[in-house]
Formats: sequence, structure tokens, C-alpha cells
Amino acid sequence: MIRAIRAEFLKLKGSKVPLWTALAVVAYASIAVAGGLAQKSPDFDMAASLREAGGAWAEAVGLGYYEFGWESLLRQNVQGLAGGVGILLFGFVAAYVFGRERKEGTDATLLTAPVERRYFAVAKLVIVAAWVLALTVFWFSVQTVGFAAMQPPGFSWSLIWHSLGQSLQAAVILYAMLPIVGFVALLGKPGYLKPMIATAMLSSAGPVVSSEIARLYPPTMPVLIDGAAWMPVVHNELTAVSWAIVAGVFIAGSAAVMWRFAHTADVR
Amino acid sequence: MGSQVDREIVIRTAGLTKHFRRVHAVEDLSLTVRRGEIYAFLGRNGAGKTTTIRMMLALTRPTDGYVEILGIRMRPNAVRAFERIGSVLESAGAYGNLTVRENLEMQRDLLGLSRSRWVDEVIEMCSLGEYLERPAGQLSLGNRQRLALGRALLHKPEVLILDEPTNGLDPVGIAEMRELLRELAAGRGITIFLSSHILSEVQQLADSIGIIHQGRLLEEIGYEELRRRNRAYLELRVSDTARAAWALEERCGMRDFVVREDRTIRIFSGFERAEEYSGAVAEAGVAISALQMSEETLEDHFVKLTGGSNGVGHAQDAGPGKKRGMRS
Repeated sequence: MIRAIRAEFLKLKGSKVPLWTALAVVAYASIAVAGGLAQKSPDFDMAASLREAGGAWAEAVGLGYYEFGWESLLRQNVQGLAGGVGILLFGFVAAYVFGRERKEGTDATLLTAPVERRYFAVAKLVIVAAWVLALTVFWFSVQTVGFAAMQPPGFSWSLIWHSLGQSLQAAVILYAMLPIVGFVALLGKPGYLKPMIATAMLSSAGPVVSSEIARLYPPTMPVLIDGAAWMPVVHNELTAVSWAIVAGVFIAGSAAVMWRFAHTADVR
Repeated sequence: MGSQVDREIVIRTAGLTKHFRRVHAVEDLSLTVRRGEIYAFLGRNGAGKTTTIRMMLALTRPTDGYVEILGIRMRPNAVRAFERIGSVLESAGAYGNLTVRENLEMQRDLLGLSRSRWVDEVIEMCSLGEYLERPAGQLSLGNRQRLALGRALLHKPEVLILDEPTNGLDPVGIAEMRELLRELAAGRGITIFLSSHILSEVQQLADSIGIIHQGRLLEEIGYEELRRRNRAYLELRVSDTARAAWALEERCGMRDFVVREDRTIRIFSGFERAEEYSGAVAEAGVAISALQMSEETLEDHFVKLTGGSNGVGHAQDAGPGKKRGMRS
């Protein structure tokens, strides 16, 4: 098993894809920091403008989302990851790790190696986990450094650790759904389109987010990490049942991926 | 090679069939490969070679029938079998972002093999030394084939299954690959099953040949039979084969010939006595309508079996069977 994991890590050596995902994080963080600058600017009173706009925007301002300060910025940080961007990025990682062998024609070599096939499935899940963890920490670090450069008021280390913890919780929920993306990548014709469509479906949780079942539906769970979804503003908290569902989704998805690896016999 | 039939069967397929909806890619294919032999699986493009090999390696599920390698029924995840099998598929997959050395090292580590002299030997055998630090994605197709073979050899397999192993190689590379496969079979006792559509290649290498056409195995030919078929012969077309045969035996002392149903006699030796043979046959009152030197090549045989030559490649200009006519 360890050897399969080592091999999976080595396969990333020299690959440009980890760099692309890091650049995507930097690009998104830049947008978030630009948003922070807009909140800071006295010429552009963002909170006042949104309050005037009314509705969900005004409600978000009422919750302190657009006040220039560490608490508000870090909340937006977590929501950015937990919302559509995180699942799209992590879904791409899973699509690449699971779909690459078939796309590049190395799957036959892999599946004829004298190694239990399920080890490869587990190794790929480990690689995706490590990648997601690294991106989450990188994402948080880049944005936090960007925010720090703007010198917002209200800094405290406890806020930083709390926000990092929430980001990691959101990442755990997002990761739990990735075996589904991996499974889709192992079906049908090789390529990244199908798993990315599956990812897009997981990211389009809008209609559910404002309903009661949002805390029971994994794609909407990450945005409820701090007790409220943002845009629309919905107060809803994750419960033990929510986490049990997350675990169940991960176990079912992983089992499906391992089964597919072990029994696949339609290598193109 | 005489005791070939006594040797252990290493690969056996029985009633192997694969249908892709309406396309019957492989139909009721039963073949046997014995230990230590080089078995060439010959067929045109699209004949069903790759599908058969994929079924052998449990990469494609048969519609019917089965494959046994080293006594183990091949199914997905047949780890015990794969410990003793090396394979190279037509696509010769390697991780393009890794160097040749890293590809080999990754495979070695994955298989739990220690860094031994064997790895260096494999590098040398496959002529990979000068490409070790080059990313596999930048290799030519031929060198990717060498790398794939190197990977397949790392765990010292007893059986090698190769899909078009000379694909993309230049003439020198083809000759080197031929020598390497010979050495692996003769020197290390590895049983080799290879597919090819290059007749001249197969002719120089194989101990046994299986000819597949439109998904069906048309014939399996042993080494001795192949040699016999490839022998040069003097062919006499006569009015009475029985009497001509009598004349050759009684008057010329010639016994190395066969009488064929198409009123021809093929003489396999003593060609310098051609005039004596024709004289003896004529004196026996038999009319000779044609007399010619011929050599039936594998290609002649292949074309005869499959009914055409389209799609069959030639490593060199093998020509459609050599014939040196001496019509009379």
C-alpha cells in the first residue's frame, strides 16, 4: 500500500497540474483581496451601497459580512472555499488523479502490475486528500497574508485559528464527495469532461441551500460551517447527523471507486 | 524443437470470444503456447489480435470462453498470475512527465524489488542507457516501446505478452528487438507471445505461429512445419504424378519430394540435378508442362489463408513469394 502511495506521489513530479491548481488559488485569493480593498476604501462604501440594495445583500451586511475587519474578511474566506469555487477546484484535482491514467493510456500498465488493484484506488484517494489539504492551507495562507497587508482592524490569533479550523472542516466535507467524482472518471470513455460535469452538479446546490435539508445534503453543508449560508443568508447548523451523512457519502464513494478498480475489464 | 508438444502449456485460450455489440472481434479462439517458445500471433490490422491480448491480460472481459496463463484463470486483479507475466501493449503507456529512469524506478519500487544489477541489465538490454534522464513524453515511439519492455522485464516474468513490439522501431531497432526476444526466450527461458502484422519479422523469430483473420484462428503452425513451408523446392507439373514419382524414385534415387493433388510434384533437394529429373520423368512417358524453382514464404501461406494481402506489412521488401521460373 505504501509503495502504491509513493508511486502516486512520484507521478505528480514534473506535472504542471499542481502548479495550475496553486495558481487558481492565487487568482481567487486576489479577487478576495480586491474585494477587501473595496470594503476598505472610504470612497466606495460597499456596506452602505449593499444596505441600500436591500434584500439578501442588506441582510448579509447586517450580519457584518461587508464591514472592513478581520472577522468579516475571514468569514468571506471560509465562504469562498465552501461555496462553488472549492468543489470546482477540488473536483478538478480528483478528476485529474483518477482520470489521468485512462486519458494518458497508462491504465493498462497499472492494471497488469502484480499489485492489488484496490491499493491503487486507496493511493489515489490519499493523494487527493493530501492535495486538497495542501490547497486549503495554501488558500487560507494566501488570503490571510493578503488581508494582513490591508491592516484591517480586529486581529486576534483565535480568530485566525477558528477560521482555519472552519476552512479545514469545509474541505473535509468537500473531500468526502470527491470519490464520486473519481468513480465517474473511471466510467465510460476516458477524459476529464464527465467527472467535471459531475463536479459542476455537486457545486450547483443553490436551490437546496435555503431549505431545511441543506444541513443534510453534502453539497450545501460546507457553506453552513459557521452556522449561516451567505447569499442567500440562511441560518442553519450542521448536526451530528450531518457529519454521519458526510462519512456515509465518503465510505460509499470510496467503496465504489475500489470496486471499480478491482473489477474493471474494459480498458481502452 | 522436436519435443515441443511434450512441454508444459503456459498459455491456453479456450473458445475465447468477444463481441462488441454487432462486431464479432474474436470468435471461438482456442490456442496453446508452450513453455520457452516464441509464439507469433499474426493477422492483419483489425483481425482481433489486440482484443485477444487484452482478454489474455484481463483488460477486456470475454463474451465467452476463458484464458489460462501458467494454470491460472485470467480475471481482473489476478495478482498471482501478473507476478509471473510481463506485458507491453500497443499504446506502450509511460508517465510522460517522468524521466525514463523515474519510470523504471517507480515500477521497481511499486513491485517491491530491491535495486539490483538486474535493473541495470534491463536498462542495457533495452538500450535505454542514453535516454535515462529524458522525460518519457519526449521519447520516440520506438524508445517508448523499449521503456515499456524494460518495465515489463523488471520483475523477471516467466511469460511475456507483447502487442506489436516492433511498432515504431527503425530497421536497426527491429533487429535489436529480435535479438533481445531471442535471448530472452533461449537464454532465460521466457515464453513469449507476441502479435504482429509484419510477416518477415515473424518468420525470423517465431517457434510457432497462429494466424488470426476476422476474429478466427485460421491455423497454428509449429516451427518444423514453418521451416518445411519455407523451403525452396523444384516444382514439376506433370500429366501423371504416380508414374513421375516412380521415375524419380527408381531412376534418380530421389525420395525428398511430395506429390500434390494439383498434378504437381515438389522436390526439396538436389536442385542441381533438375535436368536429370525431367529427363527421367519424360523417359517414363510422362509429359511435363512446367518446371520451376519456387519458395513458399509465410506471406504466400498467409495470403492463401486470408484471401488477400491488404493490410499486411513488411519490415523489409519480402516480396510476394520468390519464383524463379524455368518453363519448358
